[in-house]
Amino acid sequence: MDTNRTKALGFSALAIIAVLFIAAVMLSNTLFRGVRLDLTENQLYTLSDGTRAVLGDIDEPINLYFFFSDRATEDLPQWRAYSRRVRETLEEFVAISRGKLNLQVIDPQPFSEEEDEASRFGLPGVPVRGAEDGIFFGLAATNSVDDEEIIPFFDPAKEEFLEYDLARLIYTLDNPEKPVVGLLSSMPLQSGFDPLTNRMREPWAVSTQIQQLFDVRNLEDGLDAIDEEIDVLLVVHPKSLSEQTVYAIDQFVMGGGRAMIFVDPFSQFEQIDTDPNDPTAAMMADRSSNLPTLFDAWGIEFSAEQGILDAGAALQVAARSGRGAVSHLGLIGLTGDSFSEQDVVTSGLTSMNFLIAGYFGLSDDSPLELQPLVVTTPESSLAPVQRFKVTIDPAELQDGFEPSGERWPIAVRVSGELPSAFADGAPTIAPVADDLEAATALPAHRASSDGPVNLVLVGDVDLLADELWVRVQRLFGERLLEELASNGAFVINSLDNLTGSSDLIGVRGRASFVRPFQRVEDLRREAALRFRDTEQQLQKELEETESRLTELQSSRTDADNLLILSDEQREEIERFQARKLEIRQELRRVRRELDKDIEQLGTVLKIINIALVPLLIILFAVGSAWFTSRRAREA
Amino acid sequence: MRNVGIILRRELASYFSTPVAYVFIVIFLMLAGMFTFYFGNFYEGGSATLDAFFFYHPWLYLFLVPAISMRLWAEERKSGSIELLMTLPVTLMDAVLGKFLAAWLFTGIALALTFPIWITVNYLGDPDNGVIFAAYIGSLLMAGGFLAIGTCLSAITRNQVIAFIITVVVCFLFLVSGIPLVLEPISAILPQSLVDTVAGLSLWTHFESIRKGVIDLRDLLYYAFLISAWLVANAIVLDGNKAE
Repeated sequence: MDTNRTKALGFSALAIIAVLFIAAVMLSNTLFRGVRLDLTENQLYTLSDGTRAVLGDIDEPINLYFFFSDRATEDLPQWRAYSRRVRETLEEFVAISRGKLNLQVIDPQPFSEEEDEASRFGLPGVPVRGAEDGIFFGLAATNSVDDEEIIPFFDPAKEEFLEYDLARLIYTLDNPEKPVVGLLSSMPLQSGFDPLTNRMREPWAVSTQIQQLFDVRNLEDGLDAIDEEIDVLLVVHPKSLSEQTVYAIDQFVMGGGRAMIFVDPFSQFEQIDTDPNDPTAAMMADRSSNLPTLFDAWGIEFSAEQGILDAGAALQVAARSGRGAVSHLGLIGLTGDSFSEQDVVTSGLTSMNFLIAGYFGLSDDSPLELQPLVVTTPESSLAPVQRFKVTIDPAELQDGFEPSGERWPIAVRVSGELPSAFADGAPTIAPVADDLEAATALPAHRASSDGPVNLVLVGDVDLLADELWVRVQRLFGERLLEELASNGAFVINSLDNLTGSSDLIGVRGRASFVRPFQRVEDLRREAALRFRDTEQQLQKELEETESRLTELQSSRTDADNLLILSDEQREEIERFQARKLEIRQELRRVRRELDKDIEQLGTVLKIINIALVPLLIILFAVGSAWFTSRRAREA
Repeated sequence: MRNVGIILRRELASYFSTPVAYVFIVIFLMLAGMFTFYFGNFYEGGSATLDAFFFYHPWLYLFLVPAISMRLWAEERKSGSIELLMTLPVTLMDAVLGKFLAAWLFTGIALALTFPIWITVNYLGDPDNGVIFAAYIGSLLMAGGFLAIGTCLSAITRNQVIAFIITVVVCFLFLVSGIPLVLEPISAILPQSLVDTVAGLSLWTHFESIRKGVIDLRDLLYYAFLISAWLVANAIVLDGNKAE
C-alpha cells in the first residue's frame, strides 16, 4: 500500500513537472521577447541608432497591418522562419516607438474578410512553391490622415534591407509631404522648346519619374542662395557656373543639405551650338563638366580630362562600316558585382549603362569618407578625353587598349564633416544698384558643415538620357516606357535615400557578407596564372614547331623530287611531329594540374579534421594504459 | 554543493578509467568530421561558415548522448551500487546533479576537441567567429538537454539497452517536434497557438536560433527549464525506486 502511494505521488509529481515545464517555456516566450545578445560580426539582429532615432521622432500614431498567410504556410518552415524575423523586427519597432506604432497581425485566409482587406491595400497573393494558393506576406501602414504606404511582399532575398525598408516606410508616413528637389541642370531634362528642331521637346524619362515622386523646383545659374525648403539638390552637368552659384551650393551643403551631382568628362548628349562657318568647332567643343572649386576644397578627385574604357562591360554598337556590330569600349553596361551590395541605393540594381564616364577618388587630406556605389570591371582603363573628340569609329577605341586591372568607382557616396570651400566667406559679388536690402537678406556664412554631409556623385551625365536606358513607345497617344537598364531606378533610389532623414541614411543594409574560402580562391588564381604562363610557353613552342615544319616542307623546291623526301628531311619532319604531340600532351597535363593544389589541400584538411585528433587520443589512451599497467606491476 | 563536486570528479575519473570514454570521443570526432566534409560538402561549398558542421550535431547527439547516459543509473541499479550511494551522506539531488554535470563536462570535452575545424575555417577564409562561438554554446546546451533526458530515463530501468532505446525515442520526439513532418498532422487537430507551442518545445528550434549567432534569453531559459525539469524528474524517479 505504501509503495503504491509513493508511486502515485511520484507520478503526480512528474505530471506537475511536465505541466510546469510547458508553462514556463510558454511564459518565457511571451515575457522575454527581444532580450538577446547579438554575437554576429555585423550586428545583423540589432536595430541601428538611425532606426531608433526615426522611431523616437514619430509625431502622430501610425497603424501597421502585417499580413501573413499563417495557415497556408504551415508546411513551409523557411517562409515561417522569415515571417517570424519580420514580425519580431516589427515588434521591436513597436517596443521602441513609445506607443506611436500599433501593430496588427492578420492571417488572410482564402475568401475571408481579411483577404479582401489585403486586396484593398493592394497587397498581392504571391504564388510560392509548396503552397496551394498564393500567400500574403506584406505590410500596409496608415497614418493619422489616412495616407497609405505598403510593402507588397517581403522578399527573403532582400533580408539585409528589411530594417531600412521598414524604417523608410515609417519615416514616409511620419513626413507625408512630397520631398522637394532643387534641379540645377544644363541638360535638356525637362520638356521645352528645342531650337535645333524648332519643336517642343519631350521630357527625358528620368525627369518624368522624378516629377512623379518629388516636388521639383528649377534653379538657374546666378542664384544667391538655395531655398531652405529644398530637401535635396540635384546638379546635372555643371558647366562654368558663376562663383555666386557655386557659393550657394557650398552653403547649401554646409547647412546639412544633401546633394546628388552628375559631372562628366565627355557628354555626348550635351547640346552644342553649331556654327555653320566652322563645322569642326562643335566637334572640338568642351563637353566636360566639373565643380573644381568645391571638389578641390573638399578633397574629392575627379578628372574631367580622362574617360573610362571598359572591355569587360563594353556594349555592342553598329559598326561605321555598316558591317555587323562592334564593341564600344566607352559605352558600358555594368551588371552584378559592379554594384555595391551594402548600399540600399544600388543593391537591387541589375544593370546600368554609361557613356564615357569619369571616376572619383579622395585626396589624402580629405575629411570625407568615400563608398563606391558603382565600379567598372577590372578590364578597364583610362583614355584622354581628346581621343573621344577625334574618334568617329568606336572600333578605334580598341587600338592600344590595355586593361589596368583596377576597378574605377564611377558613382560614389561621400559623407563626413566638411569645411566650406569659401574659407574667406562669401565671394564679393558685383554690387547691384539699389539692391542692398536683398544683399543683407542672405543667410550668414557657414564656415563648416552642420554635422556630416551626404553626397552622391556620379561621373557620367549621359546615363540620364533616354537612349541609354529606355525604349519609348507610343500607344494610342500614351507614352510607354520599356526599361532596358536600371539607370532611372538608380537616380530615384538615390534621391529617395537622400531626401529621407539623415537617421535613415545611417541605416545601412547589413549584407550577410559572402565569406568565400579566400585561400582556395588564391590557389585557383595562382594555378590559373601558372597555367597561363606554361600554356603560353607551350603554345608558343607549338607554333614555332609548326612553322618550322611548314618551312621544312616548303623548302623542297626541286619540282622533280616533290614527292620524294630525303631521309634527312623525313627524320626532321618526324622529329617535329613527335615534338608537336609531346607539347599537346604537356598542355593537357597542365590543365589537369590546375585543380590539383586545391584538391590536395582539401585532402589534407579532411585528414586533419577526421583522423588527426582521434589518432592522438588513441595514442594517449594506449600510452596511459601502458603507463598505468607498468606502475601497477612495479608496485 | 561540495558533494556535487566530489561526485562529479569521481564520475569523470571513472569515464577515463575505461576505454569506453576514448572510444566515444573518437567516434564522435570522426563522425562529426565525416558528416561535415562528406554529407555537408564543407570544403566544396567554399563558404567560410561552420553551418555544415553544426547542422549534423542534433543527429549525432541523438545516438551518441544516449550511449553515454544509458549507464548512468541503470548500471548502478543493476550492480546494486546505488544502495551504497544512497547510504553516503549526500542528498539525492547532489548525486543526480553530480552525475549529470560529469556527463555534460565529458560531452563538452568531446565537443571542444573538434577545435581543428574552427582553425580550419579561419585558415580557409574569414568566418564570423561570433556566430561560431554562439553555435558552440548552442551545441553544448543541446547536448545538456539530451543528457538530462537520458539520465532520467536511465533511472527507470536496470537494462542499459532499454534505457538507450527509450532515450533515443524521447530525444527524437523533442527534436522533431519542430519540423513540419510532425507539425502538419498536429495542426489538423490543434489550434495554431498550440502548434506553435509544440514547435517551441523543440530542441531543434532553439538550437537553430542560437546557431544564427543570436543568444536569446528565451532560448537560454528553454534549456535551463528543460534540464532542470528532467533532473528533478530524475530525482523523483530514483526516490520512487527506493520505495520498491
